[in-house]
Amino acid sequence: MKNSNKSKLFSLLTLFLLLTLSVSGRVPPKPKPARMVNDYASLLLPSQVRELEERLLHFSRESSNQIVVITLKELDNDIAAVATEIGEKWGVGGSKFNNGVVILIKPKWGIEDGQAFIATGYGLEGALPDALCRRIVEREMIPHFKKNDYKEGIDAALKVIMEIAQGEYSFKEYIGEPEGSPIAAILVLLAVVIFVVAITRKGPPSSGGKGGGFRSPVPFIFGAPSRGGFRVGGPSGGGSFGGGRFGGGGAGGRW
Amino acid sequence: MVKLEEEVNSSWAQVENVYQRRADLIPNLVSTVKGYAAHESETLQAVIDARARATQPTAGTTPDGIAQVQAAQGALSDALSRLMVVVERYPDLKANENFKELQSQLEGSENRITTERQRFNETARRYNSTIRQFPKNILASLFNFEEKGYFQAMEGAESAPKVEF
Repeated sequence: MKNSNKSKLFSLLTLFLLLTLSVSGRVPPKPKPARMVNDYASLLLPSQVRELEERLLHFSRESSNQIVVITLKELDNDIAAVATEIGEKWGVGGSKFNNGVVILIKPKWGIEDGQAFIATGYGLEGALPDALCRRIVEREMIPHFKKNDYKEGIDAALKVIMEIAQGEYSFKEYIGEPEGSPIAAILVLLAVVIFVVAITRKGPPSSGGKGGGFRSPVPFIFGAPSRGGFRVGGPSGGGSFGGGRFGGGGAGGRW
Repeated sequence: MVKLEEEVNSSWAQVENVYQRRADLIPNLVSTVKGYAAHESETLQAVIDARARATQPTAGTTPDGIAQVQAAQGALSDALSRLMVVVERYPDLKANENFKELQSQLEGSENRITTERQRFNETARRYNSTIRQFPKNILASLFNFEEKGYFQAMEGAESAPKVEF
């Protein structure tokens, strides 16, 4: 049977554990009904918030991938931990595919750096690996954020994330691997532009040339999900988060 | 209790996964650094040795087992931190795309380690508090359900070897 020393140790451990757990970050409460844009740091105009919300809801319904944008003035923990916890606690993304993304932005103010982080749910870690998230933050977001153009930075990042999450093209193309046959590339470029315009009627046509190169055209002209993205059609419950899980994946940067 | 123990085991498997993910990055990291900083062989060797020790079979999820894992992995974290400090002296290396990519992968695995350890602690807590409660504690000792260990928080900042440029 357990003696008193062991139970003292156990209570000490429990106390210690409670202390460590309580540092794990207080995230904003889950919005009910679900809200994709949570601009706590007031970086966007109300009209911009509305437009973004509509775009993200539409994306969620079309592809079942849920992308949440959240801005916070302060972080009480490492940004990766906060973003992961938001994704996990709110359950961003569907529970079947764990296909959620949390974009967390902490603006630059006072003496503190600005920070941005893109957290990916378990299911999107393949399509949006850490290295890619880092590049998106550095190439698409930070140049705009440095000028306090938060809307532009968010839009630029979302463009890439949405297209990759749907398997439109792969991260290798975004990073810019050498291309194959130029004729195939031109045909593919045309096809992608038409395809993407058809899907994202609201947004501008995809430039398609981000990475400067394309690999085998056939799979994604027909929108096959074999690229690691998700385009599961059908409603994903427009008013709720699907219970997707996050494992700490993703990456970010600061300015 | 069996169900709770299963939860502990599956969260433990996740922890081992993410530790392995970090370990898998190291050979590539070492060879990339070697390309630019061949003279830092001592620091590099320390990383290789720490990795070897950290990838040995673990002793399970008892308090002793966890403490062992935490120590071995912590030693690897320390060796990696020292390596990152050394890297600061090599601007060409820091600017190298391959290195930067490895670095973000390394940071990513540190984030995952933090997440999975926290979740493991949660499953261990649920399990432990159940097996200590009356009347389950009687059943627990009858059927040899052992107490699980916890990961402790590191002193100072969490163990992630972050580098600021």
